[in-house]
Amino acid sequence: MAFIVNDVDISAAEPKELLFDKHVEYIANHGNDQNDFEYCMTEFLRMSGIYWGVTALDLMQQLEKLDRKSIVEFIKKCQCPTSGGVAACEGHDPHMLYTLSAVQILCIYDCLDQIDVAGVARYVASLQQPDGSFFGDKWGEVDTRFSFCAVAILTLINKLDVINVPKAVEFVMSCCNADGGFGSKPNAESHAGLIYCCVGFLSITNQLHRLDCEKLAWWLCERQLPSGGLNGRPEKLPDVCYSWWVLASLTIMGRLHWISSDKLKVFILSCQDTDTGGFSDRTGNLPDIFHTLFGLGALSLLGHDKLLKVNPTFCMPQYVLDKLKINTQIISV
Amino acid sequence: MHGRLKVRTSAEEAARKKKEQEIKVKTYRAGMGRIFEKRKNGQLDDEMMQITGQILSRNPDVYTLWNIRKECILKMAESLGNEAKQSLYDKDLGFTEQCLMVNPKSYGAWHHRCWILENCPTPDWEREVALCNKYLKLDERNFHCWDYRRFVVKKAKVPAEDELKYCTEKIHKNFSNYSSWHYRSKLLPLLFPHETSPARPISESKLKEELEMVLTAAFTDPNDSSAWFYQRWLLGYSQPALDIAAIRISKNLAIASFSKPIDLRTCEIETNFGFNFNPDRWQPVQKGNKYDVAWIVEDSFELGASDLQQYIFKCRMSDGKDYAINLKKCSDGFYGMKCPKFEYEFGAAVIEELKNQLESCNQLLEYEPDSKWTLLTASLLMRAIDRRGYHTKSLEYLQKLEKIDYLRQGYYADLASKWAIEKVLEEWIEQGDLTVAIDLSNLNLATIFYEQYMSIAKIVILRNNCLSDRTATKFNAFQFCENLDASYNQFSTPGVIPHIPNLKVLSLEGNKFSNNATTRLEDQMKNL
Amino acid sequence: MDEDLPTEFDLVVVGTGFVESIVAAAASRIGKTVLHIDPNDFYGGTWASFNLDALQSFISSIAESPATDESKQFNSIKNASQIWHVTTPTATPADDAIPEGQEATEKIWTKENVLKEFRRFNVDLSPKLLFSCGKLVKLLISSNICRYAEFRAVDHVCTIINGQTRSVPCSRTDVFNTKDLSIVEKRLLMKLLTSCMGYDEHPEEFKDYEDKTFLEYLKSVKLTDNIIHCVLYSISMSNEQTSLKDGIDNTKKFLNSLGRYGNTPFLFPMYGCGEIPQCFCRLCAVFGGIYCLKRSVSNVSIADAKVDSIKCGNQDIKASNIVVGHGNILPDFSIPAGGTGVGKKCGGISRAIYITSSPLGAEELNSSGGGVNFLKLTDESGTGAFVLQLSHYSGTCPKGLYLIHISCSAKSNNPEADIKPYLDKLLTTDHPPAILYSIYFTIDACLRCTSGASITNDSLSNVFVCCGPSFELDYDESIDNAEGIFKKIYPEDEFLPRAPDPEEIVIGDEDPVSVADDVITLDSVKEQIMELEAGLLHQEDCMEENSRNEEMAMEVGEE
Repeated sequence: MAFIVNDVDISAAEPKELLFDKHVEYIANHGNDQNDFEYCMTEFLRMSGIYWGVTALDLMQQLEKLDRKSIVEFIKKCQCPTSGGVAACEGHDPHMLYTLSAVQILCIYDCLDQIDVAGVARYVASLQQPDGSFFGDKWGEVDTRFSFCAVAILTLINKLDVINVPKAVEFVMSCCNADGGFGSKPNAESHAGLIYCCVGFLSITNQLHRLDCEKLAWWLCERQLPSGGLNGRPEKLPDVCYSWWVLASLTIMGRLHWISSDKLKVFILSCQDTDTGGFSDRTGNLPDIFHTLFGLGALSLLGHDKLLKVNPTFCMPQYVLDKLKINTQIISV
Repeated sequence: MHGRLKVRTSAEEAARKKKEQEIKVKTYRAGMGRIFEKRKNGQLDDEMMQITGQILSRNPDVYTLWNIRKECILKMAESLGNEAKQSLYDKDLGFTEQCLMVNPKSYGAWHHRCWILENCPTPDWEREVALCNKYLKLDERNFHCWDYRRFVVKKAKVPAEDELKYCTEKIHKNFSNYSSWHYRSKLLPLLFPHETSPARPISESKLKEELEMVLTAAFTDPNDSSAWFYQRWLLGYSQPALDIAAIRISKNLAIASFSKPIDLRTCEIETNFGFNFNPDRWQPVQKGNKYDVAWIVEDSFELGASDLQQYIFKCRMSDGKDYAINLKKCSDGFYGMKCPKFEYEFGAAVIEELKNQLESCNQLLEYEPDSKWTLLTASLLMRAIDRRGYHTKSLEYLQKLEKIDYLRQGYYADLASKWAIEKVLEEWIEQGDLTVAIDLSNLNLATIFYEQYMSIAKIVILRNNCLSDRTATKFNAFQFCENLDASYNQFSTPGVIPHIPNLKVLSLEGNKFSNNATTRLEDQMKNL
Repeated sequence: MDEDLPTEFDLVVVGTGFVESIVAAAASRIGKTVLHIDPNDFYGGTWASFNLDALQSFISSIAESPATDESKQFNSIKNASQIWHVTTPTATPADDAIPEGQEATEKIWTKENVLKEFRRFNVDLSPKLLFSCGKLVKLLISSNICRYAEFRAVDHVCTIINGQTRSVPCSRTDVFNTKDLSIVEKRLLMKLLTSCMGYDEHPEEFKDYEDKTFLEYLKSVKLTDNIIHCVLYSISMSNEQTSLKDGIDNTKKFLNSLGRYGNTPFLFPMYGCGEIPQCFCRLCAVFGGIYCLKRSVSNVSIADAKVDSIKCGNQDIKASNIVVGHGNILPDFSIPAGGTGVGKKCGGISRAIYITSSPLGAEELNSSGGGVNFLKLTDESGTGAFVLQLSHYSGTCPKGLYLIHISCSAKSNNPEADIKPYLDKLLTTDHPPAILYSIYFTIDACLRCTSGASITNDSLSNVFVCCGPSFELDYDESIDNAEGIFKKIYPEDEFLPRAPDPEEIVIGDEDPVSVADDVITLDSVKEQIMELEAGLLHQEDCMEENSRNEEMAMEVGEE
């Protein structure tokens, strides 16, 4: 009988405190073994992997644990001299996703000038379509994720004027659904990850007033399950990364208080790996660097005192954006 | 990694696995090395297809390899006739399906399929619809496949009626299927648009049917939330349409407020009584906002010179439409306000259905008094049937929900505040007398809604509520307020109450300010 | 058949019925040498399926043989009779009377044209259903025997309310779709089912009804009569006297099997239940078991209270252990008269089989020709009857005809009289079936159950007697019986561990598995799960998780 509850049980033995040092160690050691299977097989998202690690460590004020110089050198090698876009890894093709990661890392390291910023702007602009949407790369995949990437990149490099922002906004709004949420393209089902992208997009472009916040935030707060964890769509399992996507969206919409922070904190902390450090998607699963950043990011949004304040739109330390004089719109209720 | 259970393995098993992984890493490296070398040499040939295929079939997320395959196909197709070209594309279509078997959620594989079909000479869109049926049978929530379905259905020119039928079948098979409900919410407005109002999603007759169906789903399993959102959409009303909310013009201050945030500087304002300003003069009440619900101009205005039958304030907004309001004259100028719609107004047949549903909910609550979904639905139904008549009862249910569904306590508290304010506001607007206070005391308010409508009020009483610092920015709208009673709330940060130009009396006693703060507050009070 | 059998076996099994076939397979699977023989020229014994021709001969042969033939064969089936209710019609409707382009509304079935289709019948002597999460399904999967069988998910669980045959809403989907319940009833039914499922976690909810009947409990939770009827008689297959505990256990058993395959908790083996013992025989054969039909044991030699060797055809064969199936008896063993078995008895079943030209119940219960429908009928005295209606989709009868099986506890030596009250219930419904042909017989208990512990065979420490079919829906008792015998012979060994997959060992000439839309092959489902699972493992996708896959993967884990 389908009396299935899509949730997890958290045993009393799960960690209740932030294993700060373990996480620092976990991230700092990530990729030390270049022949590690997992590391090798995730080569296609290396640039994002570095961004996750750099941001996580910076939030913990341990950025010096990583070798800045080699990271910046790596990014330089990944920028395509013709298109201006950045690839996930040497030999791979440039893509919007990794271009954003690269720009985010360089902003944190305060050295945007190390790459061809004009090239980046040119690359992003070249991917905008007449309907306002963005391709992920020249092969034509359209997704609201790329709309977010585009305005995030251009805001960070202060070149938002190279694209048609009103058209871009129009496209994102055409992806809005009856439940107030957003999908990857027009008519696509709402999904917390894409909602984050669209809400973030609107926050960057100062268009939050277009949201039906009440509807959307209700949908988002219903993502919280009895375990305290958040899922990404109705009737799905909770996952630490949604702690970030849902929570950041709620924060931008000024409705963090629509879920239980205490319960969420318990869930996130239970996903720490007590052996190796790092966070997994769910209690008891294998940790990875992606969930580690989003676990820490969510805890920062919840006001954890050992972590720097994170910016909900960019998922970067707030001080970095302050330094760049970037204001992201936030609604208050 | 997502969904990978951590299992402690024996040392032997671990060693075996490590060995296996080492081999895989080596093979992968060798393969990638060969691919990049061939690419550099422009060898976009069969061997290239083969090696990229081997890696992608194990790891379809290596996006660059999909790109290389596209380059290969484009190059190989150059020299081929249509038929051979098609078979080349078909072969790769087969390959993507192989990858989708391994990972039905690979962005790369799904997009590659789109690309093939858009580039090949004779795409078979019907076959793609069948493929979607197959994959949605395996996983009815696979959103990649649903997106792909919408793409191919459009190309195959499948009528929306057929898709709705498919959707209905899916729901009958398993109503716990948010993806299908979602698709329904896209198809119905196309097939059954509302008879008169474009703001309403679907026609009244269809609405009745849908309400029945979704209530059946929700009653069968109230813990399954898929139906809730759909039902909420059907009953759905959450914010008033764009309109003028309130206007007040006095000798040295004018305020124009709107139901939704707008950029007034891009609007054209026209009056018949000589009140005209350059749009640039308008300032948002919340400094720095580009869009705001309330806008002011500070200047001295010549008022009362004219004596007209009607004083009309007209505003052409960004949607290109004109919105107008008739103003009344008062001792120090003009004012006007428009009561917003707080709910849809349904026809008699739908109301009848809603009443039946409410009856069923109430029956159910006898058996399950703590059923979250039933309480929420019942309160929404009551609002849709007779908002004023059921006011107390609907708020009572929300209060209960705050306890039962405590994770979302904040949501219910805010919603209850909204409903409570609506009632007071509606009565106040009906009275239409600026000298009467807006009395929002003792309502358990957690926040303030509709502050733009209060922007013209003289006296706002918020005494004895649960308002906290986060709400304070809303006070920016109270530009004409002379007497603000915010005593006995939860404000705690000194200076959080913004500067209100006309304020004469501010009561803040009984809040959570520290002693230190009180002194500073007193300073603030002195400045009034 | 080649006469030259090996002269020594670890195990000789006589009879190819369900229980003995499992024992044979289990022994073969752990490396024992097995000789599996059957005096009949068909597989399955009391558990066999016949085509119509064979069935008629079988029934005639029983009807003509003396009531008890103590010397040779123990008659597991008796009191057999058969009758045709149709003959050649006096007038056949003229074909040209049917307008062009319109199909004949209904074929007129005569004895002749029913018999013409005899090969399309697979009529079970002992029809059964499998709970989707029941013992047999678990055994088939855990032992990897499922790849030999195909199943059809039962289409409807029915009940008769006020003379109307209705589908019992049992799954969430059914409850959602049914028009027979109001929405409040839907909720109450779902709530009841949920709380039954949570019985062990929240026993306090049932505290006040511990010593009461299930019916009293159902009445206490304000259910409507409609729902009480469905839950009591159809879902929990109980009656007015059933205790709360039993009622809830039955309900849980039903619910636990839901949502796995198809819309009801039951599976029916395609081509009849006779396929099931044969699946085990195939496994036995794969591991070297030797099969001979039409072969009986003509003599036994005994030493040290053990059978030392048997005479089979012209050969003397040494056997370490001997398993004797229902309906078989070793030579020179007398059946003690009278005597009652201890505990629950096998056999004692009155059976009816009808071939009908129209199904029971309205069109919506039999859409597009009908599938497999199940109905539990009750009577005042308690046990009630199982009714199974099979259409051609089950592979057991020709298109346009239906098989209706009724089984009830035998109260007399007149199966027709035992069945009559139940048949009357079917015939007085709004859509009664039109019966063309009927068969009645009694399935008797096995030697052990008939005569208690005192039978002669029992004194021989290496001879084991298998039970026949029990009056139960699924095979639980029979599996226990088989496992019990296996454990007595091989106490140290594992009972049917997982058999290797085809890619691990090569099996002679395996039929390709059909995966038609309406047919579920347990194996193919498992493959799908594994595919999905594999997909899950490869998934690096950062934006999505799939709870459904995990749920399915967990099912595999449990198995």
